[in-house]
Amino acid sequence: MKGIYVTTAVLLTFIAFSIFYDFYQLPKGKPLTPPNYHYPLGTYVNGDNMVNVNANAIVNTLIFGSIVGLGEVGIATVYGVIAGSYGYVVRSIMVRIADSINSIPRIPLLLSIALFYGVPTGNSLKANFFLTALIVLLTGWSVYARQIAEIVYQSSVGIVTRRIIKVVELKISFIRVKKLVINLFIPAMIDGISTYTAMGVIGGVGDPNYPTLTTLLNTASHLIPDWWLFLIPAVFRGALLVLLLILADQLRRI
Amino acid sequence: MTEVSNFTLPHTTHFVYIISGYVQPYAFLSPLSFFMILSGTLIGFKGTTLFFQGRILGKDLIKGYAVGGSIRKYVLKRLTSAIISLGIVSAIVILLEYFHGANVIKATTSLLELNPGISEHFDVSVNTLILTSLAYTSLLLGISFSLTIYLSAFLVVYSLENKRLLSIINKWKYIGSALASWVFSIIIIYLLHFFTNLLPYGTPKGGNILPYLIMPILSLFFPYIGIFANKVLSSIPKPDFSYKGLNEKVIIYRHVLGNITVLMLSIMSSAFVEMLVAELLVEGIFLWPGFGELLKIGVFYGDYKIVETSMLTYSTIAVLSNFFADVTYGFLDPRVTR
Repeated sequence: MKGIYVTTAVLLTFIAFSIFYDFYQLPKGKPLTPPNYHYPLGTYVNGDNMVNVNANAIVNTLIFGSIVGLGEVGIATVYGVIAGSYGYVVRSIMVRIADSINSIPRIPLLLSIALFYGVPTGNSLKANFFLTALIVLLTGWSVYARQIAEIVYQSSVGIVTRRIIKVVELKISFIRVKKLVINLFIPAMIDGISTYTAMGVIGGVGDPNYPTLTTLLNTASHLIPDWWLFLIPAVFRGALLVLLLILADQLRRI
Repeated sequence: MTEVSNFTLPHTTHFVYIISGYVQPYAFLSPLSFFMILSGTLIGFKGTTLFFQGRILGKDLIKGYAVGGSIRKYVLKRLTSAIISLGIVSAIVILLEYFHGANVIKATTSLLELNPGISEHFDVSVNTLILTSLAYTSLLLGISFSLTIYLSAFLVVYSLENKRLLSIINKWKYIGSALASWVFSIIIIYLLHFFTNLLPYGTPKGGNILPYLIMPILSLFFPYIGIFANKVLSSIPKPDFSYKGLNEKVIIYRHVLGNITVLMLSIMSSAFVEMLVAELLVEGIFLWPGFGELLKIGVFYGDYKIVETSMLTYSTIAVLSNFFADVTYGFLDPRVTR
């Protein structure tokens, strides 16, 4: 339990600093200045202070992860509860549909869909941040729906018996589903961030109005000799994902 | 390209040169190589664990007495789910083609004829592009996947007895996730190319492609060896060495290790598909002319035919590889057919 408090405190501090420097603008400088006393993290291609650029990217990454996490777990909960509580043929068909969605290669599918609304530029694909979050969450909920359906189904006892002990059964299902939904939120968030990263690295998908850590890393991959453009966002991305992973593990163990 | 010769032109102006056929005459073999990579690695892994068991326990104690079910029913079941998965992906490709303005019947016919058409960006048959790039992808995946699996087999075996190694593997999943293959790729480029100039970076030039292979292999191998070993170890129940009054070595190497190989079926197949996705990312970074680089160019220039055919090809590789792996394992370990 102590571990959860420590991890949560570190994560919240990390987020608080990011939000603060997202709003509080530090002085700009000459474009592509390496880290020095005045600019501890250097400057970006447009001269922006890298402290602000990274803070903004962390906030956008978390927004993207949260939208996908909430959306995926929300759809999965509704779908899984319906499939699990109805049982029998309904469950069988609904679970097969979820499995089928799961068998589709996600990254190429997402890139194919992104081509409909994105603008190819020759070295990237400019695609709306929120539309991308929407398609990511619409293709990623099936794994979680399967788990929730199993939990609800295991708590179910067939139609006849269910009529007699309906209240008890619903109570058991609700407690177990609630715990699972809480446990699934962070993995779903990480899934959203990782999927967006994969789309960004493979297809250069990104929204210039909402740069995430992946957008920064993609820009940096064209300017590799300017090491601070890559290594600093890579460290922040790593730290953010490790904190989320540890927190997810600790929550699961409770 | 051996049959290129001089040709006398009937006119002196306005000519269009059309060259048909493959530059790589054996490119058609590349899809087959994917199935061979997975099946070969599965057999190799089983062989490695049997080697350890035989060396430590002796020949008598490694004999299996497992009873399986009907192999025919097992293969049919796996084949049905493979066909359903492929059917769903094909339906999605037809739907996407329809939204791009194509006629549904024409799109279905093209799909059944395995003829996706001409790439808008390259002005070359998409099939040619896919098959040629797959040859590079299969070479990179073949080396990095088998290397990862074999070495992680050693790691798993040694960590069963060594608690320090076990603890390192447990923490490796965090490192592997934070330092994803593509992040690791760029770090390696800094270390081995920009700072030390030890290895070349970029699309291979000339016939010597080996130096260009080292960095992509390292990028795939390092994060995955820990993740893979950790996946296997985290699925093993903690053994109580007092069971049946047996010796610790017999429990670890006969019972625990014996059961791991059954568990490996699903883990190895999913690891293969995961590594294929990671390879798409790594190829784009190293400009390795494989499937990932092709997909990247397809998206960058809005060439939807390349992207959709890539999706279908990727799906076919993943589904058929899983099918091959399942069948191979059905023969290797009859317990899974029950």
